[in-house]
Amino acid sequence: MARVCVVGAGVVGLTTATQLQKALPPGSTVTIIADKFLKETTSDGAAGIFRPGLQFQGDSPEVTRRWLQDSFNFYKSILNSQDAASAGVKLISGFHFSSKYPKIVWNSLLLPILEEYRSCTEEELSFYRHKYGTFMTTILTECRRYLPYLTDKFTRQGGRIEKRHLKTLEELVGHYDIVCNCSGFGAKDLVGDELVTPIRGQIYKVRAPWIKNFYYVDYDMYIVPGFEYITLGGTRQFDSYIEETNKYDSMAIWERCLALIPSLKDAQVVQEWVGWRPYRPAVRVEEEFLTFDSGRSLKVVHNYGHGGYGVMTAPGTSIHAVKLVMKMLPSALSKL
Amino acid sequence: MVVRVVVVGGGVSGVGSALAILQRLPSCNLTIIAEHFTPNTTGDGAAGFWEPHLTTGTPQEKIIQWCQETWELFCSWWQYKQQMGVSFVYGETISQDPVPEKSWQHVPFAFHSLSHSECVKFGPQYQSGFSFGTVTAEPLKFLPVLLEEVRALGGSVKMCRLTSLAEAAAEADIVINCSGLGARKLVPDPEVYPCRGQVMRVRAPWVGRYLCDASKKSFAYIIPNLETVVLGGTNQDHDWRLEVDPTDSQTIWDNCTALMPSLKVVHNYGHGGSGVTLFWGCSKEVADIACDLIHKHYGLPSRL
Repeated sequence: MARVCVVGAGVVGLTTATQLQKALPPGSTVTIIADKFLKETTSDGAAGIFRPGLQFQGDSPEVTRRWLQDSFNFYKSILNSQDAASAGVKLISGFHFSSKYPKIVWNSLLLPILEEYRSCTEEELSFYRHKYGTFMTTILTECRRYLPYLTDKFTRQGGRIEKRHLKTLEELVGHYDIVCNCSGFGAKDLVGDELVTPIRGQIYKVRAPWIKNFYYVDYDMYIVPGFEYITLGGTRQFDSYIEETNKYDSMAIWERCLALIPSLKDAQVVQEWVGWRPYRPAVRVEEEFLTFDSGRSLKVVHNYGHGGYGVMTAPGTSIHAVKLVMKMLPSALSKL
Repeated sequence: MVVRVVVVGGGVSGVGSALAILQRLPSCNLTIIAEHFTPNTTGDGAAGFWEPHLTTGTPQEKIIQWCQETWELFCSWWQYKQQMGVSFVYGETISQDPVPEKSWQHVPFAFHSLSHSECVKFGPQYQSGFSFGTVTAEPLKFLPVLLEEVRALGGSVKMCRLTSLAEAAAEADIVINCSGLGARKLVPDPEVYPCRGQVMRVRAPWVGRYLCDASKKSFAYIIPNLETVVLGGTNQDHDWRLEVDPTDSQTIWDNCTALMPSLKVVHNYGHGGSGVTLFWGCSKEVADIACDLIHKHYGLPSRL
């Protein structure tokens, strides 16, 4: 009955689309329109670890906490099912160290969510040669498995996918009752949102199967084992549009990682990659009645601006976005 | 004179002892004689999970000393010598039965008991448990490297099946008996008996943490190694069978997938196994003993 379009096929678009399929009344259709899929998306390079930055936020602290808890519960239920391996969801333990900043090793957003989160012991600190540190067990979602898994789920449940670059959402007027805008960085141009800013991230993907835990040091050094490869990172360059890898970033990442784990010198480098985290001061999950110069209008629910936390919060923000779609649905359908 | 040392046995104890002796006495003439070498020793099937067990008769101070020295070696391998095949892992051991105190708990990282809620999240039947950070060291990976080190120090290797220790002693000034289960016949020592362990190796690269069920009723373990994950196991005393038992396979599979449903999608290979936790500590002590003996009997200084 309802024709819904999801713009964007990254982790947020695919998650929203599959959630919509569950919530919409029978006979409804969901179509994903995007210009980038799978390996072409920003999601592809993400380490995918459930670990929010303290600046991550929605419209209020309650909303932020709800998104995080909903997301964690969602991934946890996949984790405990037979789908975990094919979905690319795993449990992972690891550390956050610092020798200069005692406060940053504790994350107040993670504290109420994780079951295991403690200070490092003296032996652990001495082994890794740092002054402060915490140990935690969290969840990781590998998009190289998760996106294909969601895509498969979406199409098996009757979803349609269209490869197309949209210049404006106006192109969708008359074709869809509601549009979910999950265009990530694309929202900057698509809906003219000046607040969307790239935070450039550069990483290595390497093979080093002897590393089973993740490691963060200070702010910008991390070693995160995924399913096949380890992500070594990183950079967080605000408002940088450079798409190519930068050799100085490579050197800095490599040196910092090897300083913590010398045996990484024998890691096999598989890939270097650059992505733009689609940052926005607050993630935008809200409905909008868009009107265009032509006088035509479109009902939209936005779900973009997740910055470096798209994989982590795709479920929680999608659940929220779908609620907004369901609220908007009666009036959207009565226009027919 | 050049002391002739013969080490009987090519598993972790034999190769470890040979290396420890050569490091102390580089001038000795050392040969390892064994029927089996890697990849056909008992240790080659092992997950190599560092945790002392099945050591109740041995004095606790010795266990602690030996496991500590081995721990330090494995940790330095993990940090600096990745070709030795050591991984560092955290995880949990849970049990339906009460778990006794461990004398070695200060050795690995962050040893602590699990709270009641941490146990029952695996099922209401789990009453107790503990967790610690440890290493897995795979003999299949490190034995070849250690054998190279033995050769580099002038040691040699001879593949042959001995019928008695006297046979080894024929061309030796001192024999180091590291024959494992073979000691039952070789010494002979009827107190040595097999405790059969069956395991399954699967490809499950998403498993980076271990999970062990130490209960008598539902004994099982899931231990990540470098490229594979080891699912186990059995503890069958006086059981000499080397073949895979399909009933054991089913039990291991059922118990492990109950603990970790995500394993259900994997394919498997098959093997059999035991333990590696004490090898370096023991080897160094063996070197001490050997050197003392050599000093006593041949008047050579115990340290060159």
